[in-house]
Amino acid sequence: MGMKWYVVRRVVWAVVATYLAVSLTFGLLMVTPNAGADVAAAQAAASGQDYDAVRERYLERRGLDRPVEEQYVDYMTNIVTLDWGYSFSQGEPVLGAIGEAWVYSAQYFVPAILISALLGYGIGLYSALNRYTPTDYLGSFVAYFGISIPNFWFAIVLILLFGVVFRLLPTFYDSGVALLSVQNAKQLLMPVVVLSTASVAGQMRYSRAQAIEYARSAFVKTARAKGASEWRVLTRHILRVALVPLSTILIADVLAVLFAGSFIIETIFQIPGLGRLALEAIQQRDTPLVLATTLIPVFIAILGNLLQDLAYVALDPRIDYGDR
Amino acid sequence: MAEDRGLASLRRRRLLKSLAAAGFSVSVAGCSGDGSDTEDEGDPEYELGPGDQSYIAGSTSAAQSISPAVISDEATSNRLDLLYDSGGTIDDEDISFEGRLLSEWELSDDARTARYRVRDGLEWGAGYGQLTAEDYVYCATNFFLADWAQYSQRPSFAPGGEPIEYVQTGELTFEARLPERRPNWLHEDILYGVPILPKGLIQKYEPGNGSEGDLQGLNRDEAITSGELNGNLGPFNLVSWEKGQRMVLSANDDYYLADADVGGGEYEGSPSIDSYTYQVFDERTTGYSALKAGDITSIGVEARKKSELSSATGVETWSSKFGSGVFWLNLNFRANGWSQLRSREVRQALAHLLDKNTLIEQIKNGNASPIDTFHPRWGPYYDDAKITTFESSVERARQKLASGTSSDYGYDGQDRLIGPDGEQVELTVVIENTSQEGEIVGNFLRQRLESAGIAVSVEGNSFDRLLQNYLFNSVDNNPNYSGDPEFNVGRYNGGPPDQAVSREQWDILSGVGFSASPYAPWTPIEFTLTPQGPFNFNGYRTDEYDIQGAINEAPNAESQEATQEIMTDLFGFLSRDQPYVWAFSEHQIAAYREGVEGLPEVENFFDGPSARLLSLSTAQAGTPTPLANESSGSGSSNSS
Repeated sequence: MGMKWYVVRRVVWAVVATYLAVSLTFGLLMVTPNAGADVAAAQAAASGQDYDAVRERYLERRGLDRPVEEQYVDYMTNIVTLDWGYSFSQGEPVLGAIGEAWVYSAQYFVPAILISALLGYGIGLYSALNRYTPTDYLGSFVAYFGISIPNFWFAIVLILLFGVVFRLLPTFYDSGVALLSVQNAKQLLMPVVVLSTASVAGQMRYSRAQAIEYARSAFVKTARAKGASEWRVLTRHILRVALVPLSTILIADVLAVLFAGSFIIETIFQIPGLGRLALEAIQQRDTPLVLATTLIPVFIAILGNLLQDLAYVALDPRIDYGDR
Repeated sequence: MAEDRGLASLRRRRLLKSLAAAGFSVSVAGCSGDGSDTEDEGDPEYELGPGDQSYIAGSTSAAQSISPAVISDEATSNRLDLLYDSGGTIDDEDISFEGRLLSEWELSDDARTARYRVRDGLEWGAGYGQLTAEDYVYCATNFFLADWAQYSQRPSFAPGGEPIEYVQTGELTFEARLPERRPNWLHEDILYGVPILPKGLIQKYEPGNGSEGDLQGLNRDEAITSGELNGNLGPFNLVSWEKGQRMVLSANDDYYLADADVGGGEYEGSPSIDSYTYQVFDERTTGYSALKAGDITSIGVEARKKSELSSATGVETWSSKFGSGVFWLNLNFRANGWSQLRSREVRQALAHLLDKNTLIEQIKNGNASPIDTFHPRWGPYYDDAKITTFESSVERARQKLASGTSSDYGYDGQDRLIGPDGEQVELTVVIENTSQEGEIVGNFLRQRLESAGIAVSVEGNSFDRLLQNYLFNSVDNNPNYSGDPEFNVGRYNGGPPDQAVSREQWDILSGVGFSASPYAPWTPIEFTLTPQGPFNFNGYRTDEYDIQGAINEAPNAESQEATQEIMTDLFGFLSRDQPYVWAFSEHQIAAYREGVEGLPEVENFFDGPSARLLSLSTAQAGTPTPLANESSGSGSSNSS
């Protein structure tokens, strides 16, 4: 009962948090000058039409001339009924635009997250158990390299090296290539490498630190005293407990990639994914699309945090939400 | 084609482009210049780029629509140009009309009637039948000139404010009855420069039976979104369009121009390319890398990158000095600008300080031409004898600042220009700082003004902020004025200079250019330099010269010579008066894989690459198909 009640309360809180985040975004957009209207009106004025009339017509056509509270209620109702509106910058319904874009993002995003988690935790744990050896130093170098190097610079250098100098990989993402093809895998290679490099670094450093901390703990010593192998100690005793804080880092990394990484990666490699969609929506003040692309990371953050809390219980039996 | 060629800074030129799209420039396709530079022999295995007969054009801007009914930007216009031919273009040989959908264009002797003949054998797709004069007349009257269509170039169909009357005179002939004399109509006639719509399609969506007209419905009509409407009217058919990403086209085997006797057979068998793709690059650097790697065939190039790309293996550059975009330093004549800018001598002093050649070298690597007035030096209305130039000289500038400012200004013992408050004069220079060019200009101006004893504060802004904080002006921003302005023609000119001011104070502003529209320059002049011009955000005005009168008279003067006289006089005055400090005219530059054939020799504004004439040499096929260069040599009757 206690655990179920906790989950129910967390879900309710997730709804409240989503509501607050969407409301805040809506408020910020309302106070932002509408550049689209200004540009449209400027063009109209340049061709001899009445500036203010065109501007008003622009706003009217998009329903932006109505009272703010009316727009707010409408938008919230549409969110709940999954009618996320029409994106004028894309010329199609918002959900349609997102439906087309997410496939492109997922193609590099999912492999990058998996690779960074596996490599990051793997190298981190290995380094923790082999401290001050050449391989530990190599792992640390990889970590610091990944943290220090800016994504955009790394991406451009990779394109120059592997695309221009060696001509091994395509220089940009060709959206006409079949999803399941070698050519597609080749063109996703550089985006995945760039994205995972930064994430690997962070996860490796955290997992190394966590593993070192637990490697000295009493329960690990007890396991060793009972004759457990190093592999069993590592995977069953150290990793399991270390995963509690590490799962927190993983969620943070996913969000960092979604918010910042995808803008850069997709812009440089010309991938028509969610990052570019969001960027264009912001640049063109496409309110429905901005709100929708804001909602996605918000949902992921809220859902991720919920799953993460539940995962704590499975990973560490000492944690119990029954009384909370 | 490489429609981005010569765009040194997309942001900086956004205004310029939007205005050009609104009807300022005669032709975005026209450019010409100093020929191509091939500096590298290239590896034959990949000199083509993407492959035999497949052409991929890189572009930093995306089409906003694929509807001929909505063309408000250059990128959209260039893409639609491959799907739908327009009525005609300008023959680059003798600057006369060269036919496309229209086989004849003729202006009556009294310059009041333009007569057109539609080419025989033109077919719409999607079941709309033959294209006839009825389509042209209906489209012009019931769409371009109709309120419901909100057509962006509508004013061009109403010279002097009066709409043109279009009348069908035969199945394939019609005429335009102009409300006033327009001897220069060849360069002003918008009808032959834009794609049209079939009468049947317009009728489906136009107002009637109580409806107000459904423009959105028209733009989303299956015939338009599928591209099937083009029939045999364009060189390519639409294969797919991913907005913001790419547009893929395939050669139209039925293209009428392939068999038409136009340009002395120049277009026979065109297009030569089987597949044409526009690939968008948000990051220009990636586009350059793609060209160097041979993943794309061509891309427009920033001036400062020209030499780097010229020296890349397998790449050649093409450039034209006949760019129509001109740049200058804006001066704030409004109440929140430095009052001394209203003195001509002070403005001339600033012209002496602006060393144009050094500036061009620093920000364009020499790929721009200095200008002295609101007209490029190669322009048809440029007369050396009437133009005043100002050599680069700090000494001359100091002399003019000393004599041109009011009596309470003067230089102190440390060569500083001191104002009425006893302090050194400090000017606010505003730049667009999202590009390296903006920063260089800011530093350059600081250095030059300081050498003349003027302190400088440089304010950097994004283009959007530049518009909102400095170009927009209103009486609401002026604490010293209450009440309504004498006039208000929009955000860029919210009233007289002593009433409407910008939100932020400024004195000199760099980063906004304009199309000089060299063959019909009266429109940009009216918009930027007349007291009630909708883009006169500087607040410029003069009692010495009747600018409005000159530009009213020039387009419908008695003869070309009379127009020439009026405009050269006006440009002479503008060089002398320096309402802006004139800076430079950009060159157009593009880079291609070496396998691209058919780039024109550049001799005038109208020489530019055309997708209809380009071909790709192939390693397998050996020599490319030679291209005929003879022109029709059509005379003044302008038929082809």
